[in-house]
Amino acid sequence: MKKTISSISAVVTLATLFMLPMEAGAKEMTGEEVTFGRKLGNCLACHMIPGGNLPGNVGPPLLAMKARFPDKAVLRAQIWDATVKNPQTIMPPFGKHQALTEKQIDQITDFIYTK
Amino acid sequence: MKKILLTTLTVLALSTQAADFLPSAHNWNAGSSGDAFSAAIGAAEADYASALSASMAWRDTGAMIKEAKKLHKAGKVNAATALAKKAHTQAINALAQASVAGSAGPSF
Amino acid sequence: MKKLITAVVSLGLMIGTASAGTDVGADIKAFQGYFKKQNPSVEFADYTIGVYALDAGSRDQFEEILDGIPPYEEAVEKGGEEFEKFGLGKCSALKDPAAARLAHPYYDDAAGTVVTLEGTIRRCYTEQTGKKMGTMKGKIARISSWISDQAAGEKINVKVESDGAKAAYERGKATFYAKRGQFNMSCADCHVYNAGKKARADILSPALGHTSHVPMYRAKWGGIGTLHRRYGGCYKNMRAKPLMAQSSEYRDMEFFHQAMSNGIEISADRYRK
Repeated sequence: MKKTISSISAVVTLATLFMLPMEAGAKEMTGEEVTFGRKLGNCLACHMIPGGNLPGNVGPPLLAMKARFPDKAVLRAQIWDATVKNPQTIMPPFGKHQALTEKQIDQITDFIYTK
Repeated sequence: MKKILLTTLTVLALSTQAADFLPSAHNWNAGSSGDAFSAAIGAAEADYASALSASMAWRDTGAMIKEAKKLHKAGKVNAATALAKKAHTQAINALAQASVAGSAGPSF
Repeated sequence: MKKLITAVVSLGLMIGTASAGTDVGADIKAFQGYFKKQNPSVEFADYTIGVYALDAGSRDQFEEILDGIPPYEEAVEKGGEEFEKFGLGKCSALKDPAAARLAHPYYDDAAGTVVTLEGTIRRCYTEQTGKKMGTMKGKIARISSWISDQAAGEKINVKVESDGAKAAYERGKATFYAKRGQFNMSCADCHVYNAGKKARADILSPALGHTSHVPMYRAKWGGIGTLHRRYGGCYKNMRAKPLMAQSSEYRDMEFFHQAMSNGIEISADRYRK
């Protein structure tokens, strides 16, 4: 019986050890990190966003988003594919072209909606 | 008994560790989805070739196709299929750009 | 009589459709007029210094670099020595280097392709040495820079005349304005419609004047590179797969791109950030 317990605990320990690095690798990024990250949203390349350094000015500043987009879904759709509203826009269709995952687009939408 | 249990769990833990954590990667049964992979990679390669010949291919599609094949060889069929599908979507979007590129002009 | 009128009218229509698509003069006027409208205080001639014409702060830095020993000076000198060493002056197309810069790019009706200065240099190099030459940096960029230096102060004057030339020009124009890559951007998106604006801390350069100082030295490269090397870099940034330097697509685009800068002075000040 004692043997069984120790073997179970060994197994559990072993399994836990293997699980740990996985969880560390999958550590979730914050909305801010996804929005500002140069290899991710890189929204600052073109937009001024409060709290972000060295913004570009190709696009409008991301301010008062709640007032500008009473419907949050419209803001999300704009990030997902801005060419729907304006085929000539320089803004990449991040969702349609899979430059960001659906989850990352949710995170960015949530983050800039607070600005 | 203890040995078998330990070995099994170690193997399990190791293979879990090695697999991708895409939502679709939890199925470790490689055999059943082999056809899905062939279809996905075939479609990706065909459309990527068309995008290339239209000089409108995307930067990373070729590497994605290569990586998908590597994953498949390593037995990670679901991750491989997901990546092949992503590469195919890239090629489809590139071809959509190609279809209007010939008539592109200034908007001033 | 009625028949004759119909014939004349339909002939006119045919001619109309044959050349309706291409009016290079009107294109240049519209293109250059767009920049005038966007930046009314910038003199046309100033576009030879490109982005530095649009931003006073970076213009100061640019002039400081030119006041010292520009980082490309040695390389361009070496290009002159290489021009001699490889006997490139023996090729009729390069005999007069200044004239060669001004004559390129041009449309070769017999061959049915656009011929770039780099294309001519590479062909001549192979004729003289039996060897091949690259397309993006090193010898090709040094020699092309030295040749272009000889034409400094002269004005870009690309001629688009024959039907074949017009077709190549139209293809190049479409390439310039087409959206591509995962980011779905065209050359024009940055370098026409948003020229002078900032992407992060970088000011987007105006396409007008882009070809005044090619090949260019870029601090980012730490060396001189050809125009087609730059095209490839832009493609990659848009997450599009770059085409080969000196591919027919890039040669056609250069044909259009250089023509848009007709009237801009060729410059030996080839420093860019």
